[in-house]
Parts: sequence; C-alpha cells; structure tokens
Amino acid sequence: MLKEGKFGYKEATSLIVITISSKAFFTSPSSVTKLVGTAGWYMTLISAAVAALMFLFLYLVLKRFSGKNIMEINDIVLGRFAGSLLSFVFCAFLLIIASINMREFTEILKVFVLPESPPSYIMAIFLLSVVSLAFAGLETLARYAKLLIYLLGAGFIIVVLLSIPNFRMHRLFPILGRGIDKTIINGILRCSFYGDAALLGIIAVSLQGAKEIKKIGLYGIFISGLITSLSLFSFGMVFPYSTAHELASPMYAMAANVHLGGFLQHLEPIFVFLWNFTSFIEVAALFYGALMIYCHIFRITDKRPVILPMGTLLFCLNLIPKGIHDVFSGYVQTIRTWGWILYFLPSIFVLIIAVIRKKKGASESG
Amino acid sequence: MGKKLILSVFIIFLSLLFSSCFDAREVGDYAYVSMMGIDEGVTDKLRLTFHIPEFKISGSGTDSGGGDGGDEEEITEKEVITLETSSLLTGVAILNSSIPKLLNFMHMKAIIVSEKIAQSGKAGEIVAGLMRYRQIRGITSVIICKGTAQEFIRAIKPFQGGLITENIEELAMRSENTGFIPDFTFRDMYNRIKSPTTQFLCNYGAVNDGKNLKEDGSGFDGYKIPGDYLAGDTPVKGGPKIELFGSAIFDGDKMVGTLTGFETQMVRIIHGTLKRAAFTIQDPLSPDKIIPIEVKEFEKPKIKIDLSEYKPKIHVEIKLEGDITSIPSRIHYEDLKMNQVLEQVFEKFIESGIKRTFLKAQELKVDIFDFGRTAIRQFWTIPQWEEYNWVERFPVSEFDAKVTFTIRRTGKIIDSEPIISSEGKE
Repeated sequence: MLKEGKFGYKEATSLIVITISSKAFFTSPSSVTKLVGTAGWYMTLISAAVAALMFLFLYLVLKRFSGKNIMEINDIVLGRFAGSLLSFVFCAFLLIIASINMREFTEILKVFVLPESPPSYIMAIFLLSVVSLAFAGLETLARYAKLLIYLLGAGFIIVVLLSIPNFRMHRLFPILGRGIDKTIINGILRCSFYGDAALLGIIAVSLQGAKEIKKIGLYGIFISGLITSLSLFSFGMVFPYSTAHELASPMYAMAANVHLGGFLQHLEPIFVFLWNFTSFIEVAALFYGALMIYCHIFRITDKRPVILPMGTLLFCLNLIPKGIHDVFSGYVQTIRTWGWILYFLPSIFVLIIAVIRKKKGASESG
Repeated sequence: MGKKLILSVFIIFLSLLFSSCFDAREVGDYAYVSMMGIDEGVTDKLRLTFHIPEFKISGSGTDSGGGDGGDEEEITEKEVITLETSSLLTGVAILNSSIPKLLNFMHMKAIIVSEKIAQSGKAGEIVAGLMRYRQIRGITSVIICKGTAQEFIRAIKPFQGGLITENIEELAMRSENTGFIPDFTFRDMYNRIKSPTTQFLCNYGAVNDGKNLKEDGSGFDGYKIPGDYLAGDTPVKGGPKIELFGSAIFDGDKMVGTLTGFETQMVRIIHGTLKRAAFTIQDPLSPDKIIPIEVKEFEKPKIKIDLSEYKPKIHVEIKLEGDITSIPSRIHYEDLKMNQVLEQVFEKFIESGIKRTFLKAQELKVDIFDFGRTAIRQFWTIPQWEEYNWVERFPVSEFDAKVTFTIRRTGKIIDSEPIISSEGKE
C-alpha cells in the first residue's frame, strides 16, 4: 500500500472544491442551459444536494471501516477478487474522466488561446506537469490546491464583478426555465458534476477520520455548489438563453465581454489563468486517485514506476475523441449525466453488502 | 551530487520548453485590423475592406492611423485594403500571402456592413460566421452604412490628430450623452437576431459630403425637430466626413427600416439608457422661437404590460428632469406657473415622439423598445413564453405612454428683463 502524508481539512476541501468547480469553466454551463434554459443556476443546487446525499453513503461506509480507504473496504466486504475488480473499474473510470477533462481543456485552449499549437503539444506539456505533481505526492497536491484556491477565488470573483455592468435581470426569466420537471430530473441526474467528492474515499487514510471526511465532503460540495451556481447565475444574466447554449466556454466569453472604458477590457487572460490552474489540479487529483487505486490492487508500494506508464496511458486516452464535438456532446455529456453510477453507487452497494454480511471495521476513536 | 547535476540539466531543459508557447508571436508580427467593411461582391460572394492603421513612432510613443498630417489619400491607399473573396478566412489567407505581417482582429473596433447586404437578409449568415472567428470580439461595434462599406472606411480619417481606432470608440461611447445612436455591440447583434424576446437596432452611418448644408435658399421656414434625420442627411459641413446618426431596424437578420436620430432618442428613453440629451422644443407662446432644454432621466422607465387579452396592452411611465438652457423669446418661463406650461409642452413633445416611433415599430413588426423583456417576466417556463409568440403579438399591441417632466433649473439666469432700445421697451 502507498504511504501518503497526512493533511488537514482545509487542504482537502480546497482540492475537492477546485476539482469539482473547474468543470463550470468549460462546456458544462452551455449544456445546462440547453437542458433547462434559465433554471441552470438553481438546478445545480439540486445536483449538489443530491450529490451531498449520495456522499453520505460513502461517509457511512468509511465510518463503518474507520481508518481504511475505499479500496481496502471493497476488499474486506466483497473479498479480494471482487473488491479489486470494483476498485479497478473505478480506477479506469477516474482515468477516463481525467483524460476527457484534459481533452476538454486542450480543445478549449486550442479554440481560444493557442490555435496554432498541435493538441499533442498542449497535452504533453500539461501531462508533464501532472506527472511531476504525481511524483511529488498527494500531500503536495493538496497543499498546492490550498495555496491556489485564494488566488483562483479572487480571479473568479474579479471576473464576476467586472461583468456586473453586462448583467440583465430579464435574462433570468422565465424563472422555471424549460419546466420544473426537467429541472428536477436533470438536477438529480447531473449530481455526477459533484462526483469528484468520491475521491475522498480513496484518500481517506490521509485525512483525520470519518467525521472529518464528512465535513470535507459536505463543505466541498456546498462551496462548489455555490461557485457553480454563481457562475451559472452570472453567465445567465450576461447571455440570453437563446444563444447561451451555443458557447464553447461561456465563462471565457463572459470575461471577454468586459468593457469598462478604453482601458479595462481584454480581461480573458485572468480567465485563462483560472482555467489552467483549476484544470491542472483537477486532472492531477483524478490521475493520482487512479494511481492510488492501481497501486493498491496490485499491491505496489512504490508509485514511481507506475506514474510514467499511467501518464502515457492518459495521453493515449486523450487522443481517442475525434474532435471538439465528440468531447462536448459525447463524452462530457455522458459522464455528467450517468457518471453518478460509478461515482456514488459502488459505495451504496458496498454498504448494503457490508450490512448484509455483517462486515465491520474498527470503531472510530474520538 | 550526480542527482543534483541531472536535476539541474533537467530544469535547464525544461526552461527551454517553457520559454514561450507554440503560438508565440511578437506584436510587430501582426497587422492589426481596426475596421472591417463588408459589401456584396461583384466577382465573388463578399467584398471585404480592411482598415489597417500603420504603426509608427511619434515622439516617445507609438502612433497609428495616419495622424502625421501627411498626404491623406496616400495614407488611405496604404491603410485601406479591399478584396473580393468567398469568406473572411479565405480573404485573410489571401492578404496574409501578400502582406509581410499576419492580419489580426483582436483589436478591431468596428464592423461596417453595407445597407444593401443588411437589407438582403444576409447579415445573419455573415454574423454567425464572424462570431465563430476566434479573434473577433463581442464588444466590437457594428455599423450599417448607407452606400458601400468600402467608401465608408475610406472616408474615415483621424480627427484632430487622434487615432482612428480611438475616434470610433469615442463615437460609440458618446451615444449615451446624445442618444442619436443605439449602443449595441456585435455580441448584442448576435444575441438579438436569434432572440424571441428582443430585436436588434444597429448604428446607422454614412459619408456626409456636406451638401446638406444649403448655402442659399428662402431661409428658415419654421420649427423642425432637431436630430430628426438619418446619417448622411445632417446639415453639417467640415469636420469628419463620416457620421453615425440614427439606427437601422432589424427583423431577425434582415434590415427592415431606419430610425432617425430623434426616434432613436425616444427608443433609448424607453430602454432607460439615455443619461443626458439636448432637446429643442417650439416656444409655446412664441411659435417662431425655440427653447433648448437639457434633459436627464429622473427614474428608470416603469413598463407595465397586460397580457390578459390577445392584444397586449403596454403602458409606459417616464420621469425626466431638465434644465432650460436658453429662452430666446425672453418670456418669463422662470415663473412657477409658466414653468408648468413649459413642462406640459415638453411632456406632450416626448409623448408624441414616443408614440410616433412606436407606430413605426409596429408597422415594421419589430419590438425595438424591448417590451419583450418585461413581458417575459409574466411567464413561468420557456415553452410557455415561446408559445405565446411575443414577436407576433407586438404588432397588434395597444400602447400608452405617460411622461412626467420637471424643470429643475433655468441656467445662470433666474429672471428675464425686456430689452430696452430707442424704440422703447420690447
């Protein structure tokens, strides 16, 4: 088993918040507008509430087997083979999500900022950073996330504040969007948006017990919900629903729309900064999650020999989508809508089996 | 030691990789397009005109736009390039092969579209194409011009040594203090031509050759509403050759009519975007005289729309305030009672202006006042709103406007004494 350093709940919350919220900077707001129209800003709060509820099952599992991570719990409850199989599926899933998010980042960066750079060049540079961070370890990643969250938060608030002159209240109407039924259904389905909170199950050993994991998970989902809702709310007031769903990166377009006199314009670079760092942390966290699971399944105690091959695999997975449309309307949409099956259902399944088979770990002290 | 050496070499190697991005270009590698004109082509689909100001050292700073007082025609020949092509991308590629720099649209200030193209309904096709283009920004101004965009761009010259780019930006920004042109951008155009709620009004521009300023004739023949004309018709001679005045009305992506400068002011009063404007009314007690008034918005317009019947009933309440800047008749309008007379006259003046503009919009079946923004608030869901079909209902709507105007000040003079001459008191 990999030995990882311990870190506090602020670091872990920062990691979870950045990993979840970074998706709001890409195509997700457009897709949400297409699905529910003007109701996106509160639909995401429904998603957050559902995700928080689902996360509580993961917490119950971790509480039942205190001091263990989800891979160890899978092995205890389902047996070595089935447990490893379930963990392996989750490992593959995380790697696929990391590759899709990375490809989404690459495509958006290519459309808006680096049109002449070959995608493989952007990916290689990005991957180099992810791999470097993976060598540095989970603790470094978490502390780096905590360091950056203040800067990223400030950048996000600046973009929103500077966009206020472009806000038009009437664009939030009709308030129920495409209908309350569609909002609720899509809100429930898209709880996958907050599915990255499930990473806490993998890094559970580095945290200070199940109660803290619960706090981190719920706070992480709550803060990410507020950030995502605020970005959808502000984006919804800047662009009418009739054209908002056409945008490849609504938040970038919002930043590009800032025009406060002759000097305060062309503010997209602030947003590019947000993009780069949040995507970097998001992909690194998912990649590291997959790495930890893989090392656990095959009882590898030193992660270093695995990082480069897994990085190569991530790079290759990145090359699978045909183009931008394939990424946005195919992969990203499928994962946002159905990702919860792999993010949350396994922990519910494991909990049920544990209760049926009366499997239980050591009780948590304190 | 060995590890440190390898790490140092690795870091040095990395620094080479991160020295710049793959797309890195120096500022001097680009030719920045400040304006782009779009006309119908003769030999190909489009005729594109690019204004590319020359960057040169002027004093300690960098100047552009031919502001060095050189031969203007020669500068125009150098800075304005016209070509015919099937698309913008192809046009850019053609030009990039003949000029030693890469065309860049990141700092483009205005897109000029000829009236002919706008009326043909091809604007949507062009706009949709341009919106996808990475370098073109949503905050770029759009101008529909009388005549050709090529002539329009060629006629633009820097004024008083300023930069052309600056001139265009200033003209667009000035609109909120005159109200003679709308203040919509390229992004607004794209959003509005696809909107079931609002429709698009575009800046209307033209080349003014100064012929409207009559040198002889029978003289002043009575009061005319100031600003009640279109670009190209203003009685101005000298100064910049191009002017922006009035607006082009769009139904979807097709230009269906125009509003004069005065009518555009009426629209902006209802939009609540007219910060300050000068109006001149006929003196009610001395009809051969006029009274100029500087008007400001006192409160945002209150719009109520009753959708209970098939015909929407629109009621608008507008509150304005202003200062009298001159009383040529020297009638004592400073007096409280006389003040009220003037206020009522001005209220009627604005009400009739708004009603006249509304009728024009209704005739063209275009909600230029954005009443759809208020109506949409009464619907719970998008399908309900789209089924209601505001665009179809607006032309049959009933309209009523109530204007309240308060005179706050009368300039530096608070009383008017008669003029005394050898013939006695006036």
